[in-house]
Amino acid sequence: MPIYPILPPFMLRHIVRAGDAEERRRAQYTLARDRVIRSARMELMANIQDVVVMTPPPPKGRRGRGLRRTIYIFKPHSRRKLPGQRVRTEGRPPLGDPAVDEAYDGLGIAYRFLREVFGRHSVDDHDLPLAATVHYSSKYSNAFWNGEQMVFGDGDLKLFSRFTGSLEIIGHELTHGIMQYTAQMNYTLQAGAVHESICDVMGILLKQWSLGQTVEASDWLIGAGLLMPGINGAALRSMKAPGTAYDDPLLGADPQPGHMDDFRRMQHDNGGVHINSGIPNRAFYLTAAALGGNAWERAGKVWYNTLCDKRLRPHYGFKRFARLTLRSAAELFGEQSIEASAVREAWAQVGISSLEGG
Amino acid sequence: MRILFRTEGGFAYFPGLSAERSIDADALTDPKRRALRRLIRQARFFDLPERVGVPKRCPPDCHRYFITVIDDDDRVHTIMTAEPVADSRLASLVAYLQALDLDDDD
Ligand SMILES: [Zn+2]
Repeated sequence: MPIYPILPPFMLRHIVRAGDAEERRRAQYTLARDRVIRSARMELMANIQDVVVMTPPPPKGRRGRGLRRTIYIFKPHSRRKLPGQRVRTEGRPPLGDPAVDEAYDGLGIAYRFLREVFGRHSVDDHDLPLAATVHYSSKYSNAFWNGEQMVFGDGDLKLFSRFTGSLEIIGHELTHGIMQYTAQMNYTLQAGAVHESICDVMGILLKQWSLGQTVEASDWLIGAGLLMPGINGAALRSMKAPGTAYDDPLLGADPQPGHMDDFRRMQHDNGGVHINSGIPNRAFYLTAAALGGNAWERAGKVWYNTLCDKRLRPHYGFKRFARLTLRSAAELFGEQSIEASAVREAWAQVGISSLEGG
Repeated sequence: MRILFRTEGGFAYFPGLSAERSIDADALTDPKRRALRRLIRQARFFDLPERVGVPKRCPPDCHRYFITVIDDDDRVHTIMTAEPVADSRLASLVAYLQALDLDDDD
């Protein structure tokens, strides 16, 4: 019994009224299924309107305690609860399990990066202990931040390999944590794409800093090395050239735009948060490229400063975010600085201009 | 029996992986069909509420799943769940459907 793909409900109701018995049944199934999907979407839209500014939660850590990492292994067959079984704590030697040790090392590099580059003490700026669960679920191709910790899958090993293998992914997930204690950006539509982009920016800066890579030397790829051999692609996203990261019969073609002309309106992916993030990602790359040298020293400071800026509201889209990056550049380096003009020029190149005023 | 399975969200969006998969149980090999029927039965799929462990705000990069089952008596039920799937039986079904998604070659 085939079922209709997602059709507008009025068409389905018409089929229920006017179709033959077989068509009616198909349409009824489809309506029943779509009701659940639509209610999920409506909930999403309700969240969009939910822009009351929440004060960030009070920091949970205690500053001065320094770096404290705990790595857990997920236990799928006993209790499916996070975090899982504790396998490596701060100061313990490597376990010999690549996922465990990559997560442990990655969190250490990320902690030092935040501390040395931005003077930030961990996720909450109060030395929140860093926790990660690896080997999540089985053949799980994803990584996420659950509000308290990072979670990494091993990948299905057909399309994706281990998610701990890319330092920029560790940095990306950690930044979702930072956002929770700072701007609390929404996670839908343009604000969600800003949110996603900030995580990619911090992720790539972490990778560049750890490798001592300049703007020119970096590949500007998010999830480099994550795709399995045989998959036609270099990474999951390209910040330098959005839309070019992969083109594969199984994955499809990288849909990221790098300019407002190609902005995608869609319902999937919380309104395209991982797609349209290509636009602010490229604005960051262009800023860093114009300034040259180490991206974390100037472009990165501007973006980090914006992410911590109390004026950044959860529902801000590209333009209002762009304005704040320009203000940050002006405040950090001066209104007539080359940094401020690099920021202005970069946003103009992705189709976002007239940033002064407002 | 037919199963519709769709994943939303995740660390990245892949056009090739975002479409709803329609799985015709009768077209599967015997062991796979039996496994799938067993997992659906064990999850008590038709008794599940429409939302199983979905928080009001899904965490960033988190997967959400939509599963519809149309059984041989033409019963149809759709549920939505989200990672981490706390119900271990439902989690097994999700994991099986995810793995099945990749088996284009048999
Ligand atoms: Zn993310």
